[in-house]
Amino acid sequence: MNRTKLLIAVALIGNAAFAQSEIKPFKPADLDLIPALSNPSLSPDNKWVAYELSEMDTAKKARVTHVWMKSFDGKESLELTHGSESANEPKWSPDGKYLSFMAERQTGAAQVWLMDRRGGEGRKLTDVKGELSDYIWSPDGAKLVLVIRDPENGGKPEPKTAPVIKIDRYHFKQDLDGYLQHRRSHLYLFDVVTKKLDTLTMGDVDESSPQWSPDGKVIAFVSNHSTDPDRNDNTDIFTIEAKKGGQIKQLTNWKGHDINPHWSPDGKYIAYLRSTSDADYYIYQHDVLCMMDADGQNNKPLTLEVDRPVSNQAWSTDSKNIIYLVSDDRIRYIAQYNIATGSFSKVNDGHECSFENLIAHSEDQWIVKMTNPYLPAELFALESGKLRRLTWHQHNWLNKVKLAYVKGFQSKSSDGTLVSGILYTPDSIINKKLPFVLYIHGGPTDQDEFAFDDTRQALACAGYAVATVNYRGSTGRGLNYCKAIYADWGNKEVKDLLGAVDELVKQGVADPDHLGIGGWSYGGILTDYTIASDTRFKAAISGSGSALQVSMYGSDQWTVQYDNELGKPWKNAEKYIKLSYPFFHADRIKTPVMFMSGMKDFNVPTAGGEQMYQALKSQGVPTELILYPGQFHEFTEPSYLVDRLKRYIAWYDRYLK
Amino acid sequence: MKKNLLLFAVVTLAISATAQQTKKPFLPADVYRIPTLSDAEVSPDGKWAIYSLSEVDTAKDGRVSHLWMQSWDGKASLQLTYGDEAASSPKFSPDGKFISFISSRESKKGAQVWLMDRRGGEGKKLTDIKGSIEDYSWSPDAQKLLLTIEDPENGGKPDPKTALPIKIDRYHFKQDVAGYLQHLHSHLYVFDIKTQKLDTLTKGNYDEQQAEWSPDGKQIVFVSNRTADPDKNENLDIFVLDSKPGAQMQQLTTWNGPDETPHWSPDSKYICYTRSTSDANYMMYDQHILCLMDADGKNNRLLTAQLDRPVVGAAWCKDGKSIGFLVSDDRMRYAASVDVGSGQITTLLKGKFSIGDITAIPGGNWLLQKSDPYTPAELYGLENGAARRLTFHQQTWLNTVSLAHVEGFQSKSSDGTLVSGLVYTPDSVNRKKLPMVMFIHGGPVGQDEYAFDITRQVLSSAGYTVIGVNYRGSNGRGINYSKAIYADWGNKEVKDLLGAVDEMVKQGLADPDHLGIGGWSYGGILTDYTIASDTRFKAAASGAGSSLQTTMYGSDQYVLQYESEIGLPWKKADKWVALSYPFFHADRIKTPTLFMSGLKDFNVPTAGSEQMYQALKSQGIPTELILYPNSFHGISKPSYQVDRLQRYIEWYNKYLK
Repeated sequence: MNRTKLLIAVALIGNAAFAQSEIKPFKPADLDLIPALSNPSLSPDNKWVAYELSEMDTAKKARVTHVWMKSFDGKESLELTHGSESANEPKWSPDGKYLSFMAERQTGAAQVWLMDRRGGEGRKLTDVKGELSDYIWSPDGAKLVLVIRDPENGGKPEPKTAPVIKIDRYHFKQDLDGYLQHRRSHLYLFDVVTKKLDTLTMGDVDESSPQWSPDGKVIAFVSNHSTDPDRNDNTDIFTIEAKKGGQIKQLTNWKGHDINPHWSPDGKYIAYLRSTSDADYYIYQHDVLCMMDADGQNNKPLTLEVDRPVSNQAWSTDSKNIIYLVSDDRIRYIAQYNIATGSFSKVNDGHECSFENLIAHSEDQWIVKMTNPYLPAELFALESGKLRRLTWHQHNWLNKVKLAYVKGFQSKSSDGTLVSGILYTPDSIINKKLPFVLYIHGGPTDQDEFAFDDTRQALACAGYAVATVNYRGSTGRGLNYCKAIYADWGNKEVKDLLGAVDELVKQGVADPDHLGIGGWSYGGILTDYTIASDTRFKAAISGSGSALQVSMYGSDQWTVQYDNELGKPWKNAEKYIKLSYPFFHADRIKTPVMFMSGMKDFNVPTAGGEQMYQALKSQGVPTELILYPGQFHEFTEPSYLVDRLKRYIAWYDRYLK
Repeated sequence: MKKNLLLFAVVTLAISATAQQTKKPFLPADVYRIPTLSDAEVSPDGKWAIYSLSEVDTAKDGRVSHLWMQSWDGKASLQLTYGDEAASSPKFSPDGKFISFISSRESKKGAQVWLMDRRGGEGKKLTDIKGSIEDYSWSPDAQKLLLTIEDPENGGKPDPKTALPIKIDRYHFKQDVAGYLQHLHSHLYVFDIKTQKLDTLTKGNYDEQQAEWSPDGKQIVFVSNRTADPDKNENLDIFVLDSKPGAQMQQLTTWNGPDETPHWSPDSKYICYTRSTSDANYMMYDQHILCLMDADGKNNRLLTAQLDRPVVGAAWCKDGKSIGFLVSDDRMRYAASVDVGSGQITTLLKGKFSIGDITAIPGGNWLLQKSDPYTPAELYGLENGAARRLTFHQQTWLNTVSLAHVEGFQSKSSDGTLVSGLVYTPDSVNRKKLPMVMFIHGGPVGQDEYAFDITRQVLSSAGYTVIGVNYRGSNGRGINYSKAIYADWGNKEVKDLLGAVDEMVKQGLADPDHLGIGGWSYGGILTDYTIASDTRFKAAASGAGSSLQTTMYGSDQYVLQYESEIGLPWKKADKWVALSYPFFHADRIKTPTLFMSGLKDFNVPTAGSEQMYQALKSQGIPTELILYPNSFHGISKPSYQVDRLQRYIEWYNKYLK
C-alpha cells in the first residue's frame, strides 16, 4: 500500500536528521518555526485547494494567518494574501469567480473580503456590525449566509467607563467569551450585489453551522430551542427558508445534541451527527453519524455499532457515499457509508496517524489534512484510499531538527484494564533507563493519537522518556471505556496512569527514582489526583488544573455538568468533597509542583492552581505558581508557549536530573 | 478578615434634620457632589492647616484631589493646586518656607515630590524617582527628605510589549489593590534637596514603613517585620537607624504582635507607638494600645490598656507633656489625651460624632477631622474643650438635600447580649412602620458610628427604615465582644442582627412583612449567613461577599488568618465546611438576592458572589450578579458608586414595596 510507502518516506526524513551534524534536537524555541495549516477549500473546477496557514511573524512577535493555494496536481503552490494582518476562512464562490476570505483589515472587525480570480487584490465586501464568525456562499453565488454575534454595547461606541456587567443567566461564564449576557449569534442573509443585509433568525438563542440546500431554497442550521438552553445540550437541526421572514422548521428532536448538518449534493438527504446520550448533559459520550431525508423524515443513526466517535462527515460528489472520520485507539481512520447498500468500508485505516478536514474532490478523490508523530499537519489528496502529499510547509524546519522516537505501548492497570499509550524517547535505541515524564492529556473525553505533539517532543528531546496514556475517560476505546469515570474522578484514571508508569519501569525505559508527571486542563487535574495518591513522583507540573472541585462550582463554565453528574453541592456535598481529595488530603503530597494558569481562563479558573499552590507552599513542599497575563485556557501568545515549555524542562531538570 | 465597608471618608456640619420645603431627598447621584477631605497638616507657626480635598471630575469619571489651605483663625480658605491632575499628601517644610506635595504631573516614572515656595509661585517637581513613593517626610533642618520607595516594576525597565509571566513563590501572594505579590519591596532613602542625591538607607527582602525623623535630626524611626518569613505573621517591630547611609539599625520592640505608628516626642527622648493586644502570629479580633518607650527602646509601657478600646491617631502635644489620641467607643470615636508624667487620661472631646484625625497645634490646641450623621468630614479646631468648625466644603450640597433622621438604639439578642445600632428614618417626627433594610457593616472588626453614611442615608431617603448594627465581632465594645466570633463565623453575628430586627419590629419602625438585608464585604458575608438562617427577608443585596469559605483559601489575601484561626483545610475540613453553611445549605435560602463584586477584588474575590449567584439561579430563586469592571474591593469609580446605590434601591423597591 502506498500509505506505508509514504510513512517510510516521512520516517526517512526524520532519520536523515540523525546523519547531519548541524541538526539539533527539537527545543522549545522551535515552536515558533512550526506553521499551522487549516480550513482547506476546493475550487469549483477542482484544480486548486485554498487553505489558511498561520506562521510566526518575527517582527510582530505574533502569529499571522494567510491564505494559500495549492494545485491539486501538486505542482504549484502560492501565497495569496500578505502582510502583518491575518486573512482566513478561504472559500470559493460557486461560480469560481471569486476567492473569499475573512479579515479584520481596515475595520478592526472581521468582514468578508473578495478576491477576483482574474486578478487583483482583495476588497472588502461586507460591513457588518457585531462579530462575524462564519459565512457560506449560496449555490447561485448571489448571496452569503452570515453568522453574526450581536455587537457589544448594542453597537454603540465603547463608553469611557466600561459598562457594568449584569448577569442573569444560569450559564454565565465561558472561556474566550468571558461573562455571558445576552449577545446572541444569529443568521443573516447578505446580497453580494446590493450589499443588503436581511435578518433570518432572532431571539434569545444562538444559531450556528448554516448550510445551504443545493437548490438554494433553504438553509439548515443548528440551534437549541428548549425552554432554557443554558441547562442542557439539546441542540437540534432546523431549516429556514432562505429569505427574509422565512419559515423555520425543526428537523430533529433527539434530546441530546444534533449537529453538523450536511446536504447530499442531490439535495435529498442531510447527514449529521448526534450524541449517543440523550441526557440533559453528559460529557462521556461520542457523536454518531446519522442521516435523514431533507424534510427530517426517516432519520437513522448509522454508526452506533462502531462504538467510536465519528466526525467530519462529507458527501461524495455523486451523493452515493458519506465519508467520515472515526477515532479509534490512538488513531483516526477514514470510513465510508454507501447509501444504496447500507454497507460500511474503511477507506484508509490511518496507521499511526491522524486525520482532519476531510472534503470531497470527485467521486473517489478527497482532500484531507494528515499528521503523524514526525509531521505536523499537511494536506494530502486521498485517491482510491491512497494518500498523496500536497503541501510541504513543514519541510524546512523539520530538516533542521532531530525529533524523538515515537512508538505505541500498552499496559495493564491494577484492576486488569488494558490501557494504550504512546512513548517518546530521545532516540529509537534505549540503552539505559531514562528520567521519565508522564504527560497527561486533557478532556478527559479525548485521546492521545499518533500525531505530532510539540510538548512531548520537546520534553523527550530534553533527555526524557515521555509517556502519554489514554486513561479511562478517554475516547477511542468505546463508550464504556469513556464513561467508566462518570462521577468518579481521580480513581480509575489514576490506576491507569500508574499502570503505565509501572509498565515503562518494567520495560527498563523509565528510571523509577526519577519520575515526573504533568499535564494541562484535565491533565493538570489528574496530575493533582495522582500525586495525592502516589508519592513516587519527584516533580510535577499542573497546568490549568484544579483539585478543590467545589471551588469551581459557579466560578467556571461547567455548572450544567456538575449539576447533572455530581448533583447540586447542597444535596451532595460529600461527593464534591470526596472528589476534591488532593486538596482535602494535601498533606499526602510530597512532590514539588509547578502550577500554571492563564489569567483569563474561565474553563479551569486560576483559583484551581492558586489553591493547590497555597496548600503546598503552606506545608513547605517546593512549589511555584506561574501566571500568564491575558491568556485563556489555551494559550495563544507565542512567547508564552515557548516560556511554558522552557519552564517545564527547567522544573523537571531541577528535580529529575 | 479585615473586609471593611468602604465608606467615603467624608465629614461634617450640623444641618437640621427636619428638612426645609425646598430641599430634595438625598439621591444616589448626589454622590457626585460630595467632596472628601484628608491629609490635614499644620504649618510650623500654627497659622494654617493644609489638606487635600478630592472632588468628582465627571468627565474623567474619577476623583481628583487638590491642595487647600485654611487659616486657623477661620477667616481665609484657599485652593492651592488646580487642573485635572491630582496633588496630595501636603506637608510644610519645617522652616515654613515650602509646601511639598505628591503629584504624577509631568512624570512618566510615577508620582514625585513637588515643592511650592511660600513666597509665591507654582509648584515645581523636586524628585525624579524610579519606583513608587509610598511616603515622605522632611528632615528637621529642612535640607533633606526621607522617602519610602517601593521597588519599580520590571526592575525599572520600560514595560515590554508582552507582559511578562508572573512567577509566584511567596506564601502571601495576593493582595487587593496591590495584585499578585512578587518581590517588590519598600525601602527607606534619603534625598538631599540641594544636590538631588538619593542615598539608600535600607534594603533586602523586607518592607519598611511609617518612617519619621527624630526632632534632633539624628535618627530615623521606622517599622518593619524582620522575622524569618514576614508573610507568616504580623510581627512588625519598631527600629531606629542613624540618618546616614550605612548606619546600623537597632530594634526597639520585641512584642510578637505588631508594634507600629511610632512618633518621636518633641525633645527626641521618647517614642510613643501602638501595639496589638494579642501576641499571636495573626489575630483579626484585636485592638491597638497606645504605648511609650525611651528613645533607646527601654522602659516601654502601655498607656491605654485600661480603656479596653482601640486607640489610633496618636499625636504629641507640642510641649511634649501629653499625647493626644482617638478612641473607638460604642458608636463614636472620641479624642482623649494622656499625661506622659502621670499616665492620667483625659477626654478632650466626646459625643455623637466620629473624629477621624488629630493633629497638635502650638499652644496646646488640636486640629480635628470630624464627621457626624448629618455632615461628612470637615476640619475643626479644638480649643479649651470646645470644637470650632474651620472648613465648610460640604455646605453647598448639604443645603440642597434633606437627610434622614439618625438615632441610636439597642437590642437584646436571643442569648441576652446587648447590641448597639443606629436607625435611619426618612422623617424625624413622623417615625412610622416602613419597609426596612438592615445594612451590615464590613470588617468584621469595625463599627458603625455616628458619622455621615452615604449608603444608609440614600436608602432611608428612598423610603426605608435603615439600620446599622454593631454585631459581635465589631469593635468599640471591648476586646471580648470583638473576639466572641473567633472561628465561629455566622453564628453570634446572626443572633445579634436578628435581635436588632426584632427590636425594630417591636418599636413599630420596621414592617415585619417587608424586611430587606444587605451589606458589603463581611457585611455581604453576613447577609449570606443571615438569609441562610432566617427566611423572613424578602430581598437581599450581598456585595463583595462569600459563603463557600474553602474557595477563598489561596484565592484571596487572608491565608494567614485562615490557617491561624480556622486551621489547615486538610486538617480541619469539617470546620471549613461548617463555616460555609450558606452554600452547603443553599436550599434553605428563599430570599431574592442581588450579588455584586468588583472584578479585580482580591480581598473577597468575585468567585464568592458567583458561587452563591449560581446556587440561587440553579434553584430558580430570583437573583442577579452585578460585576464592576476594573474595580477592587472598594468600588472607587464614581459612576459605579452611583450605579450600585441605584441598584440597591431598585432591588429593594422590587421586593419590599
